[in-house]
Formats: sequence, C-alpha cells, structure tokens
Amino acid sequence: MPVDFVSYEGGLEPTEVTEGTLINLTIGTRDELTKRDADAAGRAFQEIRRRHSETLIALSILGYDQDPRELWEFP
Amino acid sequence: MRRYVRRFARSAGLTDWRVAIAVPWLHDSWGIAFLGAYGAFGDDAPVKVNLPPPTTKQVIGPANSGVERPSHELSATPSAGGPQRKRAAIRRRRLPLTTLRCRSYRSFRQLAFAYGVHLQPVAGREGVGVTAPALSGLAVRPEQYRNPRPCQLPWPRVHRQACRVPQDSRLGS
Repeated sequence: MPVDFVSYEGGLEPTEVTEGTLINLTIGTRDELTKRDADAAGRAFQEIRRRHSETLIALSILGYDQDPRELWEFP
Repeated sequence: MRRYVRRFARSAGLTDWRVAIAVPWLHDSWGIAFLGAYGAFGDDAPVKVNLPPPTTKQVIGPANSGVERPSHELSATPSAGGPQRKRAAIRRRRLPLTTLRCRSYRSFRQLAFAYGVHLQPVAGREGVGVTAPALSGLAVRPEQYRNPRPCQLPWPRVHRQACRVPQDSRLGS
C-alpha cells in the first residue's frame, strides 16, 4: 500500500487531495507549549480547513512518549 | 496542557461544538473528544466525554519506600536524566527533532494500523517530519483508508448520540 508523506509547509495541491487523504496536524510539542505556538496551530488548522474542507484530520501533540500518563492527565 | 489546548481551540475557532462536530475527524479520540477532554467547549455543549480513571502509578521517594501517588497528582515536569538532557539538546538544535520519540507518533501508528494504513520510511528513516512545532503537518494518502475491522482505539471516547446536530442549527449563523 503506497503511502505519501507531505509536509504541510510545502502545501498540498488541491489535485493531490483524494478521499483517502489524512492530515495529521501536530498542534504542539512538549516544552514548547506557548501561546504563540497555540495561536500558530490554530491558524494552521483554519488554513487546512479552508484549503481542504473535506479532508480527514487528526490532532497530535509530540513529546510525551516516555511518560506513562495520557495526555489529558497532564494539568 | 489544558490551557494550551484550549488556546488552540480558541485560535482554531473550535470552541463551538457545532463547528467541531462538523470537522471530518479521522477519529473522535483525536478530534472532538480530544478537545472536549480539555474543556474546549462550553458547559452547555451536549458533548459528553468519558475518560478513564487515572490508573498509572509512580513510586516516589526512596527506593522501596512504597509511597505511590496516582498519576493525576504527579507533576508534568520530567525527572532529571537522559530524556531531559535529550530534550535540552533538541532545544539547542543539536539533535534533529525527528529523533524524539513521541507519544503522538506512536499513537498515530496505532491509529494508522487500525485504519489499515502502513507507514513507510521516509528518506531512509521512519519519521513524520517533526520540524516546526505547531505548524508541521503530515498527510498520508493510502489507497484505501477504511479498514473493515472495528477501530480499537483507547480513550477518550465521545457519545456521538449526544452530539447530534439539531436539524435547525446552521453553522456560522
């Protein structure tokens, strides 16, 4: 099963988006959870929704792999 | 974490549950339920998110002291040691960010597995191009996304039935 990885910085052409396209949006990284990053992630989300309104989206936050807690258990 | 996610939700315009439910999330656990777990929606939102009780325990104090605290009482500050030094090196850009093991990528792999997507090495390494925080994105275009097997993803889950959009509601009105 071929899988293509495309960075959002490079952008996705509308013709590249199919019904099977998934955008995994990283909204933050551990130790860099600042207000500016949150706002930038929000703008990125809005841009993705504007460009690809029908594309599947999954949110993710990086850097918590070595912690046994779940993300929502962090205060 | 809670403030960060809620701030993201505000910036993304996802504080309205009607807007959030209209987004084509790959799975509720990584979409509307994720936001709902952090209280991104108002109290009047008919979105009920079930979270499991924290079960992870960590021994604190001297070794074999037997003192345990539930995970929700633990601090989010990582303990000193290798991972902390590694993160510090990453902040100084001495290590590429892609060397950082991350929960979300592992979870993403589980998610991809559940949906029948096989991740393949990119440029000789298995990574997701984790470069610019908050702006990095990953798009996967498999031939076939949906997997006939039921998706066995962990919490949080959301009650879809309770999130049904009323017929007369109009987004953005």
